[in-house]
Amino acid sequence: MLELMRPVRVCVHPLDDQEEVAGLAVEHQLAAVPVADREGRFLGVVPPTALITILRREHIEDLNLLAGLQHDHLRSLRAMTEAPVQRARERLPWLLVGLAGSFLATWVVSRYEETLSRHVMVAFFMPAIVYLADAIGTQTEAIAVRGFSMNHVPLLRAIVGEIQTGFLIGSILGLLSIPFVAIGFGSQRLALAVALSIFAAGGMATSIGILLPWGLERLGRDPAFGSGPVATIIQDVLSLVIYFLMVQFLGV
Amino acid sequence: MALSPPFPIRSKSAGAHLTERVPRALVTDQADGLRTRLACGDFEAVETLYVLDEAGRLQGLVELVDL
Repeated sequence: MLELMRPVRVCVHPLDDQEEVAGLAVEHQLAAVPVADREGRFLGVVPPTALITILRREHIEDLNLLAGLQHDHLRSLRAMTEAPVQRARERLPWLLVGLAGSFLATWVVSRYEETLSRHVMVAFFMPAIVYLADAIGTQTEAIAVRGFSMNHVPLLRAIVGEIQTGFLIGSILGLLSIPFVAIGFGSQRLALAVALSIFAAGGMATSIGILLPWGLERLGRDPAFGSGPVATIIQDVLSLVIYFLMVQFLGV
Repeated sequence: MALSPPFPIRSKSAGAHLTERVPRALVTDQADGLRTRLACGDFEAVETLYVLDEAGRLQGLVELVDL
């Protein structure tokens, strides 16, 4: 038996999280994952059929949380046929958080009423900056939720790399916006404020997009809770704050 | 009466999906005798044979295609 035997590369404890177990199976290309107690006594395996079930359920759960839906596996399967009242009940909780956040965003904008009344053009770029921060952040959240759930990635490299990527994307989009704003609206200062805001919003959005799921994972929660409407509203509010600070600083 | 497992079951944990119905052998077992035992077994996962020591600790794996 000794000649045929291969070393045990992966062995989990019965209390280990199912998503991590499925992630290990994918990472090490295992059909089944052995389970042992703290003393190393073999208890059995998580079989292939269970691994497929876990991967499917966790995938649906992450998708639901990314979209801000309450997660219930059985309900997810019935989501397209349920009564509207039931569907609304599933979707409302995170949207209520979003509603509270949008009031905060409105309050931030109202603090700059004087600036807006002097230069109404400043308002034209608010949707673009908020949208770009959301879009960049959503991409990061999808990458982070998938990465933290399934793989054992080198953490610092993942976080630093994603934040650098955000600033790189922000700088490219910001530079591209300069001629459009400067020529189209005849204000170089406004063009610079918009470009710098997109640059900063890119870095901020990726930071939140990756640090929120990471923080939740560290607290033992599902990283997917750090995505969707919660991250979106934080990115919205901060991108507005950044934009108005740039406008003020550059004296637009 | 159902036997309770020797570890706490927590939903969404490895233990909730665990099956004990897998082929096992001792380090000292000979490969020849195992084939007959494996053919008669009722297993849920059959790709791998789990090799244990006398205390039940996992020592290694044998892919059934290698037997």
